Amino acid sequence: MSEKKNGQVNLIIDGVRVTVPEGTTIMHAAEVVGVKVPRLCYHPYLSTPGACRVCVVEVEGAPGLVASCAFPVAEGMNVRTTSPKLRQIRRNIVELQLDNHPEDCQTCERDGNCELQRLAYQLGVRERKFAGEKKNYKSDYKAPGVIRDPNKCILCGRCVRVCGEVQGIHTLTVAHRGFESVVVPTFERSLADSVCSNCGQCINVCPTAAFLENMNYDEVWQKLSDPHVTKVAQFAPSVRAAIGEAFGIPPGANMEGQTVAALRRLGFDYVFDTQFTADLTIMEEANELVNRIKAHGTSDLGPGKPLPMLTSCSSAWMKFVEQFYPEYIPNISSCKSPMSMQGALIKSYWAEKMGLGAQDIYSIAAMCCTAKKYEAAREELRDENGLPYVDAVITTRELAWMIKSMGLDFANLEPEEFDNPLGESTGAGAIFGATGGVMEAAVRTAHQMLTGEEMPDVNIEAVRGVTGAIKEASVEIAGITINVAVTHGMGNAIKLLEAVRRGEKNVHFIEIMGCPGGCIGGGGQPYAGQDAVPMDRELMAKRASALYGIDKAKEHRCSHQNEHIQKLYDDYLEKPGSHRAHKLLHTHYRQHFPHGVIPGRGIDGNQESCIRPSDPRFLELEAFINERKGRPHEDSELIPVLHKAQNLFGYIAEEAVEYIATKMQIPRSKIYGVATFYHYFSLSPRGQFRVSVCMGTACYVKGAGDLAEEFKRILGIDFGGITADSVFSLECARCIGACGQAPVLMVNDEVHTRVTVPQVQKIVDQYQEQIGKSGSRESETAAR
Amino acid sequence: MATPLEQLISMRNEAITRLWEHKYTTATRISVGAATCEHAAGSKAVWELLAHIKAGGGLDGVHIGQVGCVGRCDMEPMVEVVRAREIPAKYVKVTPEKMRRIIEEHIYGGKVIEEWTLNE
Amino acid sequence: MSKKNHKHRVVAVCLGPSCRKKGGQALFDNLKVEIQRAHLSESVEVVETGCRGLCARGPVAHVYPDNITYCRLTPNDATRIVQGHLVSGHPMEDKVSHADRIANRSFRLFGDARFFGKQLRLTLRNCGVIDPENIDEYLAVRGYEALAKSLTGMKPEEVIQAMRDSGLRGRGGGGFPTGVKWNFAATQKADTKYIICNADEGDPGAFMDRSAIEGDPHTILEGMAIGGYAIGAHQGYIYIRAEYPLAVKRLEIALEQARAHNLIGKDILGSGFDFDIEVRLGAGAFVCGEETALIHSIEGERGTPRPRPPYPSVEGLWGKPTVINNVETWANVPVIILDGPEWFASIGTADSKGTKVFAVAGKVRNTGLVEVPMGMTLREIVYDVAGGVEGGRSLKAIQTGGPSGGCIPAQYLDTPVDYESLKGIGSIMGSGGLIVMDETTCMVDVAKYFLEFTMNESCGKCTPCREGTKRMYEILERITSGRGEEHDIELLEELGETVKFASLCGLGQTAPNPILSTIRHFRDEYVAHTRQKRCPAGVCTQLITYEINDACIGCGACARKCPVKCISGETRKLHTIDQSKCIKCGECFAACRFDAVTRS
Repeated sequence: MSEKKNGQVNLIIDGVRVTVPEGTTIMHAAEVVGVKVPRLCYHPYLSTPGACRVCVVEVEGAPGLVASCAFPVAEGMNVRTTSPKLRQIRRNIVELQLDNHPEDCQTCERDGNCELQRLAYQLGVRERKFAGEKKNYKSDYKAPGVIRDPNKCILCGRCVRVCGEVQGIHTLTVAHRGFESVVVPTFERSLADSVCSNCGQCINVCPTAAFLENMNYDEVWQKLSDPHVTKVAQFAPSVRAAIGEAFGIPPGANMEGQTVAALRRLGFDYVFDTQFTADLTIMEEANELVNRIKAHGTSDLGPGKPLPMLTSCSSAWMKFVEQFYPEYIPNISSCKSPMSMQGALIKSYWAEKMGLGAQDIYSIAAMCCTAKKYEAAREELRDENGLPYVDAVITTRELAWMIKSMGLDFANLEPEEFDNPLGESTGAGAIFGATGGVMEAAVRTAHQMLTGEEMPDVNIEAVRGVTGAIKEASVEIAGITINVAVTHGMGNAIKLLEAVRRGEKNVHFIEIMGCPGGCIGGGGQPYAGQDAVPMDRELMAKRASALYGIDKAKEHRCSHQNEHIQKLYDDYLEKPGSHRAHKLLHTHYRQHFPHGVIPGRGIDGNQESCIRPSDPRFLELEAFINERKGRPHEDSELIPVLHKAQNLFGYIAEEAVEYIATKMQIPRSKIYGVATFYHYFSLSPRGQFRVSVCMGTACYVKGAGDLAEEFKRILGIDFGGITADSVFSLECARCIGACGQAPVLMVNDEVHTRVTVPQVQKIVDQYQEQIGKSGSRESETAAR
Repeated sequence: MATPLEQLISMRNEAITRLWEHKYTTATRISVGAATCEHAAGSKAVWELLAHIKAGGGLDGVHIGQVGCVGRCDMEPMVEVVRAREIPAKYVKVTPEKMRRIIEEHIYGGKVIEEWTLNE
Repeated sequence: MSKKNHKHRVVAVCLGPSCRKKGGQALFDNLKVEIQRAHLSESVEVVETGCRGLCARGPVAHVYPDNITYCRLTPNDATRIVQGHLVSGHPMEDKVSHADRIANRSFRLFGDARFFGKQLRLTLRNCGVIDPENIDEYLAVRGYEALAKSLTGMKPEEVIQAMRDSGLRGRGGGGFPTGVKWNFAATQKADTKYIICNADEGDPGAFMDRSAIEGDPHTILEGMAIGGYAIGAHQGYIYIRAEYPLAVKRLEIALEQARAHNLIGKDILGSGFDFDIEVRLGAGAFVCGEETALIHSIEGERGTPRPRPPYPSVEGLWGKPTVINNVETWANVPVIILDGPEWFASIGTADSKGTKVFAVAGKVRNTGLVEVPMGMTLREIVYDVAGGVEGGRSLKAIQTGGPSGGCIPAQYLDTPVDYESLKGIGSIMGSGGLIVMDETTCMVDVAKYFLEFTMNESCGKCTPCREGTKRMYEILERITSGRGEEHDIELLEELGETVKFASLCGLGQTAPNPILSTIRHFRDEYVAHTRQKRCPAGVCTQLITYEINDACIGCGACARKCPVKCISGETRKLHTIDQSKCIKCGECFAACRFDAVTRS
């Protein structure tokens, strides 16, 4: 054992001495001695809530058990990771999870691939002792990309964290509290009506099936047996780099040929490569960039074509920018994504060639992505008859399942070639799947377009890699310095765009991919294996290496060198940016609502998005919030602001939340999570007379429970309810501090003491009478 | 420069002077319990009665003030009457009606209503 | 100092027989002479009073309006009282009647020897005595002197040392030594530090903090300012329940007045020390009494706790070192600085110093708020201070610590109230709820009541608490409605242990206490509910059966009272109850004058 050095800590874990750096958690120290403590909510790239308690261990001298994921090691610590008591407690914790979880493992999409199932097996949960009431929520199947089943949720919170901390979108929150806790978008709306980008990272990190892609394979199976249509498939670069994992093939294997073969065996008549249109995208996008740069500073650079130009291939990013950064819409390249370009070409150029009509073709795309399902459904991307160019999108996972379902021996399929003319690609098209790839590919071609010469070295290492958050480079082309920046994950995109917005970065071209790692880390990729971690960067690097391997092995590594691309322009499109190219390969964007919120911008951080309704109460709310502007920790004023809103409106009205969110730049989901957490806040209108029965101990002992029952009986409502005529609402109060007069209750601000059951009717009558007398007191109540 | 303690002491002496002038020079002082529990028990009505009488020019030479709760929840509202050189009387479960009689008999009449005082 | 500044006091000297004999008269005479010599005759009055019951400590004198009682005086002390106290404003520390000072004052003011006689009101010393909305009244009773004293002659380390020497432990429930906590925060290197007063009193049935703030808000501000000086913080927050509007109002008034007097704010009393306080409202979440949850709430987040370490004294509010103490703890601080840690440490037991405030409620004659020295027995509190069980019934159990505490059966009534003793019998000190229960209380029902509370207040973040409290509640509901099995008791114990050991924060870790302690001490009641389907206390309505026996004369009184009309029978003949319709309301039982309706 090494001597104690500065910053090193010696401890004993399960009798084994170990020395680890100061600040290491017990969980990681245990890994050093070869013990993987069971865990559930923990994720290495996300904050550590210490919430699931599965990873508890015994620390000698500590009063209770500690969560090993969060507890730092200390000198001389003696840790036990297993003992009869620990085993029982861990088993009970997982049993408690199962007790509030549907018992439908056999029919669940994640059967065999579920962390909860694995854990229950590992810990030896063999009986169910505590079973009782289960949660019962409606599922949300509305969004085309991501669907949600809260009944399967075990509240580990990884989805909430990945959506907020990594993606910066904050679609989700834990709402309510205790047993009622549930992960939802704001006001429990559908994901389809939220700021959700459909990136699907929540699916990747979910240990169960609480989040899934909106499956399309059923429809695909149906169509595959339809003899009247020509079945065409395309698949994305990242699919070939990851699909092997679903079949137990080590990560990093390029399964292109097997995937082509599998699709043909499934029944597709033609299999094209999305990499072909990746090359095409580069032709159009590089052309657009060159034009923007050439025009920059000259009069013909209208407000419509500003710099920096932003890439447009990532569909989650597209939806994100439309909701969060509508002011940057003019900066986005008008190019469709490779999938949509391929879709358009299949039903135009290729259909014409084949003498087929669009309706004769069933065109699907297998994608690493869940947002592509959303993209395929976008109105802007339909043909002139309003029909989608891409009929269905399936994820890598769905494709893998279809292959398994058919019983194909995927690993041993004889590799096959793509069909042409839409199947050939260069190395540039392959690297699209990894973060930085589009940038690298575009620069290779832009160089040629600007100088007429090929780049001497096409490898641009500075923009590669899955670890760097924001990668920047400057490229000298024809005497012009082009500054480029690359980022992946929407959270990083926010950082980059905020820096650009503040004028801190002078860049010409930005590549943004919605998912961490780029498409290889998409929300539709195979689930992490038994001993792997979702979003693992090493795994991403391996997938990326498969794509860079393809690039390296290609004879042609620049998109403009693709002979079929050249032919396509010669035969059909004429030249990049031509009228026909525009019609088929370009699109436009528009602002989407609800408007996204960028936390950290502070009060009035995005004034254009903050529209104050005309109701004068909003004026007062505005003044209250403005008073707080510029104070340290503005966000912490949320609860005082909610108190104010409740005072003004009588409850936390939805419009008030909307207003506060945009005015203070606090995510709606957070406001909703906070407002539903605290029982003092009411999310629904309350009665003109708010009856709150104190259920403090002193009152309870003196019969408050009976009073409550009597109110419930007379008013016909439960706690939290409101009578049909909105006159009475009933609440359960905690101690109001008048225990000497127990039992007590309050009606609005009036306290009634030493109340007996027969008095309840009189109290109700007394207030009912007031209504008769004074007509409406509504305004008065509201003003309070 | 005076030390903080010296400043505090002079501040205290000023406070005592003010208190004396406004409160302790009055022959009779009434303190009404004023806390959430007291209010719940009805002390507000008692206070309003006194304030009303005072505003109407009554209770001349009588100081009315409020104090927090002393912990005798079941005896609230409580009202203390202090008359110069007399043992203070603490009335319990005071209502406005009782208060009127206390004013009549004790404040003006000088006779403590023993059965209403805290005498356990 | 101008002459104007030292006038208007009354020195009341006891001239009862005992004090007179011990030199009271000479003291009285000397005082008059000294006052004349100091030219204070116009502003200070010396009066004689009758016996105040302090004969053992006589002669005694009381100075108004400072409300200071001196005891064991000699005639020579007249000079010190006049020159030291009346002229210079320094009370004669060695003769101040500390313990008795407060008790006596209550005694005098309230005339309730039984209720107040055994109390020692330190933190509540001014409650019910001064006008809480007038800073002058607080100043007059040596208000802010402890702060001034700290700023004048004490280094921050010395203030912390005084806290450590006093032995003060957190009054919020945990009982962590306050001085040690302050020291952690003080030794952190950070540009910003914070002080927080936890006034999110949430135990159902406990209202100590509300009463303390409503009765004496300045004490809290003074305590916090001293804490700020000690650890190097310049900003404090008071986190208080929104359900306490009057307390909030009083705090706001007190803050405004303290700022106007330069006792809070920039350069306090010219010392160069800045300290301000902001009031933040809670919004109805019991879990926010947990310090990390409270911090999240102040930060504008959901009030969920987080794992510790790091402790708030190292990484607290906005990641900065933060000291969080509850209201009662802060209220002790000025007392300790003013009257000295040694004196404070002389009160209480070996490991629990000072006093504790309890909100006594339930089936007890005098419900109310009491402050007693640590070490007093539960029996003394219930029988001597609170007057015993209501209606002369026998005491069954005492519940302390609210939903985090446990039920203590009558045989432990002589347990002294201190942190360790209460823990030893399965309860906790808690923040001060003390509920008295008599034979009509069902212990399973009590456990269910508290579990319903913790279940509703669970934040839902950690699995054992979120799911476990729900399941424990369900089992209790099963038991109290007659659907329980004996095996359920073991299930409760097993689940209770899991929730207790594995939960993230104190709420979950203590949530099973009401169950585990009632099973421990009243297992027979659980057995009666599960095996015999019987509620011995007659509380669990679904386990009660009303029947009519042969004593029935057929008067029909019960049938007329029955709200669901389930009693039938001809006049003058035996009536019967239709058990399938009976709602167990007990009206028939109450209506029968012939003991013909039985309850079992």
